[in-house]
Amino acid sequence: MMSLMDGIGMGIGFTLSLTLLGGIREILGSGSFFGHKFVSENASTILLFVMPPGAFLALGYLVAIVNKLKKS
Amino acid sequence: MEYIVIIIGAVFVNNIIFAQFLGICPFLGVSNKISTATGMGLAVVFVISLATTVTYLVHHYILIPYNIAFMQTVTFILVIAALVQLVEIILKKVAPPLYQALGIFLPLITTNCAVLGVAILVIQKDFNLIQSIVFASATAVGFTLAMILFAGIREHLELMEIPEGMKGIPIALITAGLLSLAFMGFAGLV
Repeated sequence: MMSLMDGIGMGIGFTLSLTLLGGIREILGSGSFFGHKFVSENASTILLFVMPPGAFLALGYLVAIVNKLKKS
Repeated sequence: MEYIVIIIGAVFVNNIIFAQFLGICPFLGVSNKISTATGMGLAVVFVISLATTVTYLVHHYILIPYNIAFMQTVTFILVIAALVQLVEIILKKVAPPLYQALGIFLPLITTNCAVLGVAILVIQKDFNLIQSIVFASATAVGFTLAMILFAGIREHLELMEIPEGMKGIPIALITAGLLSLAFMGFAGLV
């Protein structure tokens, strides 16, 4: 029973962090949120964030923020 | 010439870690020291090259003729798991310190997405046997290259003054991001 709960918790945590990271990358990278564009069609967005390096950078800063929050 | 294109493409342009995101967990997990990173890289080279050769043969001479190609995932994982077990036994006997250093990441090669990824990519790209072996070894070399580069940088990072919250994994991820950015410079080479 405990391990089932642990598994569900892990899964939810994973989903949350994935959604957060995806949200940040989508907003910065293509100026949309869950597919709804909120910048004009020809606005320049930070394309870096939809490419692989952007994922590493965004995840790095996210982990740093979480570390900081955990300590304080 | 064709093989050179495959090799350059797999090592630099579509580097398995920096461009395709496969096999990140050992990349972040055992890249603290160059020696362990090299050991992990070599183990992965061995497993990927052998696993791809065997899975290629299994796919084309067993799965296709008997019309059971839908069993692909299960069979491939079984082959990879057997090979990893072999590597584990050999390493335990031959290099106990390396075995200790790799820890849980050694059995984890079984479910390393890089290994299964290459085995499936080879089938999808419709390579012949020689091309598959060249592609698999080149991809594994790309993995090792990424591991060693990254471990070298991380060893230096240990001695740097870094803001408290950035220590450890965050700075490693940002370093990986910059390295990945650098590897994007190879795009369009092939």
